Formats: sequence, structure tokens, C-alpha cells
Amino acid sequence: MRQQGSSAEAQLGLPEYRGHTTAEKIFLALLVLFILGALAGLFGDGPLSQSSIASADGQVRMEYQRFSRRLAPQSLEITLPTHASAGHVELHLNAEYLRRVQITEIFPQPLESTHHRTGLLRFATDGSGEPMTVRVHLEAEHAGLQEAQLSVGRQVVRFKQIVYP
Amino acid sequence: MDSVLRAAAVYLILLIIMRIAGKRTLAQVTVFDFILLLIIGEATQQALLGEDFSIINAAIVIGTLVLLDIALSVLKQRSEALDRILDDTPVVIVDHGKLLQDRMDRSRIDEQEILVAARELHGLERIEQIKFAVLERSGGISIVPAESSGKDS
Repeated sequence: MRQQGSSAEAQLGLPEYRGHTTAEKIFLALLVLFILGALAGLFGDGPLSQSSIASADGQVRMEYQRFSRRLAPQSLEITLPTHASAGHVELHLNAEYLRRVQITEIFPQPLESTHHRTGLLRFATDGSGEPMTVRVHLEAEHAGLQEAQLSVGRQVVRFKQIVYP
Repeated sequence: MDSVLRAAAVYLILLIIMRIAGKRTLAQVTVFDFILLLIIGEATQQALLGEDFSIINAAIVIGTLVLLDIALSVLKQRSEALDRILDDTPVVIVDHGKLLQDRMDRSRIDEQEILVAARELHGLERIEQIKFAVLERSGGISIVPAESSGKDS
């Protein structure tokens, strides 16, 4: 059978049939791994990407994507401590991070947002003293590793994101 | 994860729609069919990519579609039933010069289309010169000329 095949190829001037080459098998295996990685969240949203971090006292908490993609929508869900006596709470984001992302929406709307040495977001509180949750929707504008820091009062949370092109 | 699931969903939807549309959709396309396919492509693109135009997302979507296609072709090779479900079977539409009208109606083929294929492939002029005409799985019509037609098959 193999002999017949070979002679037919020789008659037609075709290269000898070799079946799947090692390179093809490797590429197929890599493709499978790539898609499994994507499913797991290695290149964006998914269980491997979803991460949470908290400040030392555990009062400031944040959920974010460890892996994200350039210009793809993503969000930070930040839980902030509030005080019954204060009518507002201030959240600071470091300037370097703000230079690398485009904030598309903040919920709830902040009373004030400024951007000097750091980005400041001031939110109204309901006076109950219960923690409030802020959701910041954004898009990373640059690929690469980005380090960020957000702080509420003296509580600081630092996180890193890998942004794919 | 979202990109892989979206690509898989779109692949499945297109597979079902194209299977319902039948074999004639992609073979011998008219100008309108061509425009329709472009519109389908445009609508699909939005569903596949959403608002994420990153290179890695495009790679994930393309990789998912290719992998699904490879997996499905392997499954079809192993299961004749699945093969029939997904790709249908070739249909004989002319038997020894006789048109099989009910099959032609079901496949939305008319006599003129068979004659076009007969002229293009074998230079035949009449239905009687055709031994068999088969609507292939690809949507094309293949012709086996009758021996008395004096043409090569």
C-alpha cells in the first residue's frame, strides 16, 4: 500500500507522503494549549485572571483582572470603608496607572474627580458607616506590565496587571 | 474565557444556519447571495469580537474557530451519523436522463442549473445525454454523461 502510494506520488512529481509532520503536531498541541489557557483566563477574563486583594487591615478590598487586553473593557470593584460621621470618602489612584488606562465609567458617580500628582475620586456616602462598593470601568491603553496603587486614607492596596497587546 | 465561548457559540449558530440553508447557499452564489454572505460576515464580526479589538483576542477567536473545525472534522470522520447530520449526503437528481423532480424541488435546483453544469463540465446539450447528475455535499453539481452521448466522462 505504501509502495503504491509512493509510486503514484513519484509519477505525479509530488513529494513523498509523510503524514502529519512533527511541526504540525507541535503547532496543533500549542493551539490546544493556547485555547485552554484562554478558557482558564490566562489572556483575559476567567478564573486564573480574576483576583482580589485587600489592604493590611482588610477594610479596603478590590477585585480586578490579573490579565487583561489592551483596549478591552475591564473593571475594578473596590470596597471602601466609610464613617458614619463623614459625608464622603476619598479614593486615590496613582498617576502612573492613570496615564496607562482610560476610565470609561465610574459607578456610583463621584462627587469630584481630580488628577494632579495622583488621581482623586471623592464619593458621597449614605452616612450609615457601612462599606461602599465602587465599580470603575476602564480600558488599558498600553500593553505590558503595569503596577498600580490605590489608597483610602492610610490604607494602601498595590496590584499588578499584565496587559496583552 | 469569554472570547472562546463567544467564538464557539457563533460557530455553532453558523453551523446550524448553514445546515438549514442547504447546500445551494455557498455553491454557485448569485450576486445577492454574495452580498448576503458579506452581511452575515459583518454581523458575525461584531458578535465575535465585541468591543475587544486586541491582537490577542483576534488570535483567541481565530484559534477557537480553527480548533473547533478540526475537532468537528475528526468527529465526522469517526461517526458516519454525525457526518450525515452536519454535512448531508450527495443527492442524485438525474437518473439515466430522467429528472428526479421531488429531489430537485427539495434541494431547490431547477433543470437549467443542471444543464449549466452539464454544458460547463462535459459540453452536453440535453438532459437525455446525462446518465447521472449528483448534487454534491459541497453544493456543486457533478455530471456523469450517458455512454451514448459520445463525450468523455
